[in-house]
Amino acid sequence: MKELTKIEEILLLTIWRLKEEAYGVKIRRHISRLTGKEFTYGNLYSALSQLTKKRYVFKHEEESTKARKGWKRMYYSLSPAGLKALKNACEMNEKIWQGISVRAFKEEIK
Amino acid sequence: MKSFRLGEWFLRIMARYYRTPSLVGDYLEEVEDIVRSKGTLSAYGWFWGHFLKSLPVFCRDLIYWRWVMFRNYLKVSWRNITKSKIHSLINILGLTVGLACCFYIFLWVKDELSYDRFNKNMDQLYRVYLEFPKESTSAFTSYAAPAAAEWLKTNIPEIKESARFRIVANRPQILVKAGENQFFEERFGFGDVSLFKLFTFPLLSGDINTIFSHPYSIILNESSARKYFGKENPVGKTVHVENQFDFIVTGIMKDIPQQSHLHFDFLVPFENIVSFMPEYGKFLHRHNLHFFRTYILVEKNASIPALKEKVSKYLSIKFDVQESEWRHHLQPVKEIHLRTRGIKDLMKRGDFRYIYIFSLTGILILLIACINFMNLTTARSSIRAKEVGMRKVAGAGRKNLVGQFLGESILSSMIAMVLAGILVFISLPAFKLLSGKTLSLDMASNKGTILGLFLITLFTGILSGSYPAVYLSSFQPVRVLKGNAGFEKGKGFFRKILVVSQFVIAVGLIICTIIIYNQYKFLKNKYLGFNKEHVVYAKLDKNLKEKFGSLKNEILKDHGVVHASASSRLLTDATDWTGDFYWEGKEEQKERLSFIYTTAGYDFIETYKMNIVQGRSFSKDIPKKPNEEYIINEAAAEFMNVESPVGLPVNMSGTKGTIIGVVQDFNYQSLHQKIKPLVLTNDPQNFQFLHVRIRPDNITAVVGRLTKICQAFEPGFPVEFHFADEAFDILYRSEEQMGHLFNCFAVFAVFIACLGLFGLSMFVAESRFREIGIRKALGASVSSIMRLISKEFVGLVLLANVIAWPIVYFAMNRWLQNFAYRINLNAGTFLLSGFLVFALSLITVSYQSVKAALSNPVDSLRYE
Repeated sequence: MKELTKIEEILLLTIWRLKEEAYGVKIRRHISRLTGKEFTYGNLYSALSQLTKKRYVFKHEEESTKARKGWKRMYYSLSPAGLKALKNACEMNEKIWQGISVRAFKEEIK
Repeated sequence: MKSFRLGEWFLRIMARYYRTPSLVGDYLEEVEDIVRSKGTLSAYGWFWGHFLKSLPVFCRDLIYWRWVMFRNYLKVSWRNITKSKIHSLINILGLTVGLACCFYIFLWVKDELSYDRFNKNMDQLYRVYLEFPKESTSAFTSYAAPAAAEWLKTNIPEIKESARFRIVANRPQILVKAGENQFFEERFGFGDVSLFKLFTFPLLSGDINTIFSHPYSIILNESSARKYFGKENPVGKTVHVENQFDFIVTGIMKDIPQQSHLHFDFLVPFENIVSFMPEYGKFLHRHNLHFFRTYILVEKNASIPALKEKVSKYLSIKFDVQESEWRHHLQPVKEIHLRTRGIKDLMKRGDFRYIYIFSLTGILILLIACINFMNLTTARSSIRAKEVGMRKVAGAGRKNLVGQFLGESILSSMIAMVLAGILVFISLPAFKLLSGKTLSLDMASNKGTILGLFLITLFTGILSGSYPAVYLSSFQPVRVLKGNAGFEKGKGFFRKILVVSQFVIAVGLIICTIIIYNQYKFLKNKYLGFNKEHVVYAKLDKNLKEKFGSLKNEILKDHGVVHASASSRLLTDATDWTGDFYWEGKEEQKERLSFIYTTAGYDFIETYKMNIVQGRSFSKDIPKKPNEEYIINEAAAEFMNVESPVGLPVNMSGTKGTIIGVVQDFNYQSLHQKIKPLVLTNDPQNFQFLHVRIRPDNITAVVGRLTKICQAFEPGFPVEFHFADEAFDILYRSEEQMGHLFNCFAVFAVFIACLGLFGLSMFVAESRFREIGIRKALGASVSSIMRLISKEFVGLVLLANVIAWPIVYFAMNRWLQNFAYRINLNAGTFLLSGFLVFALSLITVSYQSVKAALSNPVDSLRYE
């Protein structure tokens, strides 16, 4: 299995966390808040379409609200494969970062 | 939210691409949130900021993979083009020639259709024309009565403005002099100043309200102003006309565009026509004599049918005449150039049927070129089959493959377009020579034209690629990759149909060309009822006219001269009408009738070697008032239907006289029409032309001497002699030009078709290379192998001939109906052209078959 890219990793994680609420606006805002930078829809949907193609996420439509002028919300959820990939990434991260916390850098960078 | 529309549109495309409609909705939802919390302006900023930041990612996703594929397609098609150079050359050469023909036709048609479109109010401009339901001469004329313009304007409220116009006649040129410069001018017009309000003829200097306030004012166009006055400002200067009249230049107008049905280089106030053509003087305020073009400008929202109704009642209101006798009609000015057929109009006009014919020819030629492309591409499909198989195995869908092959054909046609553009550019002067039409490059480079040419090319590419694309993309990967795909079966039949249809077109065009050529040769050489060879004519001025008697005597002294005479009109321009023509015993219902007439001096009949069938010609020896004698032609005699016309007293619009002779019918007008009744009178007052029959030897010397004699009589007037047969040739010039053009196109069509045949036979010879080797090794003769290869194609060409013949027969029969005098269609023409194309195709094919038949079997049978 191929490694996930950073964006994909963040995305999968966000979708997993947001659970029932994982649709475009929420996902984007969540990531923007996490990273502290505006995350654009271009990046979001480009990555989402890759994830959909790889069958890491499922999507399903739900009713539209008035503000959306009839454009339905698309909710995302992790597929078993996506969950597994996320788990792998998590394990990998743990291995890579083992024993290192942010405090370790504070001594190096002053 | 309106300002997001463009963004929304793009987002929608992206949403479709990602297959997630929520993309648009998400944007809208956020915008709505921000509008609620921070106001519209910041929502606006947020939207565009976000949108622009997303754009690079969107674009990358949209284009990148397509671009990669496209690059691959481009590379493969370029390799294919360069791999088999001869095939590509044939393909592209065929397309180039086809497109070049098409481009020319497109430019030509566009030019023809653009006539009079420069007028700003072209939709409100109409010409008044007249119908004579019972007339003996032409039933429709583009002229109206001099008083009509004013009457129509004052009495019909929908008519905003009206104008009259007239050129003296077609060819009596007018001598114009200014300072040292003097020239004969053809386009010297008489007209109302309102012409400038109707038509978009911009004045460069002079005010439209005062420009004709003086009766002897003249307006020059820009190029004549330059011709006569150089760099000086001509306004206020004097122009001498015909050595009699002085006009003061009051205005300069821009040159009238070539695409105008109405042309003049000089314009003087309308009333001056009386001094130039005294015979019209008494008619100038009449409602029932028709010599003047009349144009009207109608209100924008006027109902045209109602207006037509009112105009057609004009004469019946005025004179209480029955409507069925004379009726006025309206013709939109923008239709004059193409739809004046059947209406008498002295100018050279286009014909919408030529537009159809040439458009069709263009399409047919392009079709031949496209068929070439299809045939050669599908014939060589075995070479591409493996590629198709590979692509399919790698996951290409049929749609991708169709796209690829269409792309290839479009690429070829684009290459051809560039080459055709260069070809057209180079041959533009030659085209002008052929068609008599100046197709300027700035017209060719205008936006609409470029777009048009581009669309033609695109269409060609798609058409020629369509069949190969569908055919090639249908291969089964398993079969083609195994190597024994049976593509030749069945599909060869379709290819044969294509070849046959190609040659049907080519043979058809060739036969048409030959028939057209024969018809015009026939017209040119037909015995016209008189002899126009070795006759020269020249225009006379007032003084020469008065001294005509002594001038003629002087001329006759020259030993190179046979006869000399004078006339008011050249025969080709005989369009004046007698007005009411009455003879004793004329039936009541034939009332109000007029014949065409022209004045002809003593010896005119002899000068042109016409034949008198009854009575006598004008003769000096029988003293009588000359303008009381009339000679009529046979057509007139037949029309009058009297027992013996000679000696019959007649009354021609008030002038009484007697018919003294009947002349054998002679064709004084274009042979499109039957000979019309004609009256010749002998009125020295109206002489305008000198005609001299000279001996056929040493013509130039005689003409030189004649010029000198005239100069001696009138030093101030530059007499120029012209040949009468040239004046007659002009009648058929437009047909001749069409004929030449058609000729060219037909030749190109055959060329392209043969090119295709060449390619196809080359392919067959190549693919049967080994078979031929085996046959030769087994003892087949060269001739039998040639037969083997040629047989197939030659049969197709023969079949095409048989199909083409009846089609062309019907088409050309209809075309010939346009001529009053025409050739009969005979089998010879058909057989000849059939044979011609057959021979050409045989030569084309046999080049390949001879090459194949002469090849050494060892070369083809040996394996490395």
